[in-house]
Amino acid sequence: MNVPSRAQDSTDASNWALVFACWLIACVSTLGSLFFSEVMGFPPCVLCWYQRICMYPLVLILPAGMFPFDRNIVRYAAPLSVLGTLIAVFHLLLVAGYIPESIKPCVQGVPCSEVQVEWFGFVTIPLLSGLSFLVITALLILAHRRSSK
Amino acid sequence: MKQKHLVIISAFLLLLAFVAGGLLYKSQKSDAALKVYQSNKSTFIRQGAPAHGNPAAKVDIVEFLDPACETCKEFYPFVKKLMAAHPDKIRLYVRYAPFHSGSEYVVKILEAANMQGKFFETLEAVFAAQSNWAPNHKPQPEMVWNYIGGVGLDIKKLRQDMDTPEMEKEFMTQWRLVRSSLFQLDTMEVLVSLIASGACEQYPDFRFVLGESGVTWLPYVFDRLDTEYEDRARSLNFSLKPSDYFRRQGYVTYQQDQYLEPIIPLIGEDNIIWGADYPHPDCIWPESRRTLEKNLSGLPERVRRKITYDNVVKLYGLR
Repeated sequence: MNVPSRAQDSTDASNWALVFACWLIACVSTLGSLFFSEVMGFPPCVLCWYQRICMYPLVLILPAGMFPFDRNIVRYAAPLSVLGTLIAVFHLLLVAGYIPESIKPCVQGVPCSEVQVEWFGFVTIPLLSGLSFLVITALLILAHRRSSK
Repeated sequence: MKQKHLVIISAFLLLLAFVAGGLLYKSQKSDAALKVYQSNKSTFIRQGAPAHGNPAAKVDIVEFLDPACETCKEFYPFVKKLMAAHPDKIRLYVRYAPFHSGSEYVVKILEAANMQGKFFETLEAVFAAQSNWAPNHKPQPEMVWNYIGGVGLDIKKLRQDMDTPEMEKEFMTQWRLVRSSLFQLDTMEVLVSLIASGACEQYPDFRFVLGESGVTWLPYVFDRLDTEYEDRARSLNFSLKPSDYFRRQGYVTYQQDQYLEPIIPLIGEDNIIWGADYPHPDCIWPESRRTLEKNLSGLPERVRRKITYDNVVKLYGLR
């Protein structure tokens, strides 16, 4: 069994900070989406729910890999964030009209192509979601690369 | 352990921000709603409308009701209970939506009772007897007098107060305008039912007349009838297009329709008969000739003669 060196300790510490940042983003995204649906009263569309399915577990799974710090955290956190990124990109393309009506998974309730929030003329809910997933994915990969060196 | 504290404090701050944001959002929203209400208050609360409850109450309920409406009767005790459960916190204003024909007469009674400060007592008496004076949505408003004797109203004064020009303008004129503008359209259902019944198909010699019904609405009904027949009633196996039964067997009389010129070819110049409605007090006599001249001036002599003379002679065999 290797005794961890001081250099490894400091890498772990900075990687922990990266994962902590991921967790903060996941928390803000989760609470933000709950704010939209529960406080402001926007009913979530089907694609929003799929993205929530990928985002909400991160709030609990990431701390599990932070205490004690687990260098393999990317293995169980990245699948969620990558899948979430893909759904968010799909959602964005749908809203922008690049994906035709017929492929839409939403047949009932709120149409996924409906824009409920548009800040500064371009910031929509799927854009916020996509950015969150993308940054979480990037930070996880960065942390993984640094610890496998 | 520093890391753990960091996470716990972050979680706490995030939750706090969530709750604070929620509260802020809600209070801003209710402020905005209150502002909308304040700026539109005069739309809801008519000056002098019957009111009940603390004038300084924070909650206003504006209830629109029809004395002949069964749902309004059922709903009334609910509002009363609500007010009793929250004493001094609710102010109730009553407005009218007298959709039943005849309700407006009862509204006038209620309004006159309000002048004597007995609005709610009268309303309750009217509601209690609703099934007697307005059974099956058919109000007989005069019967209401039999049921408000116990309220303690000065009936003589009430009748005087009911009969003022102000009351007439406020509560009767607009309802009367609706009825008198549209009463001829009741004939729509008669006409369509008659043709749908197959009577014209079965008895080609049978003739019918839509009297005093006006003319210009007929093309619309023909269009609807023919379209719906094609769409979902062809199993009736009519040998003619439904509207053609009218052209073969029907007549329609009118007094003073405008816009006749483009309409006549759609109905049939052999099916229209003019009448003055004499001797009804609202008939167009003695202005009949002038009205005819105005409404028929653009038509050829042949058509004018048919509408004013030939068609009715043919129909009743007057020669």
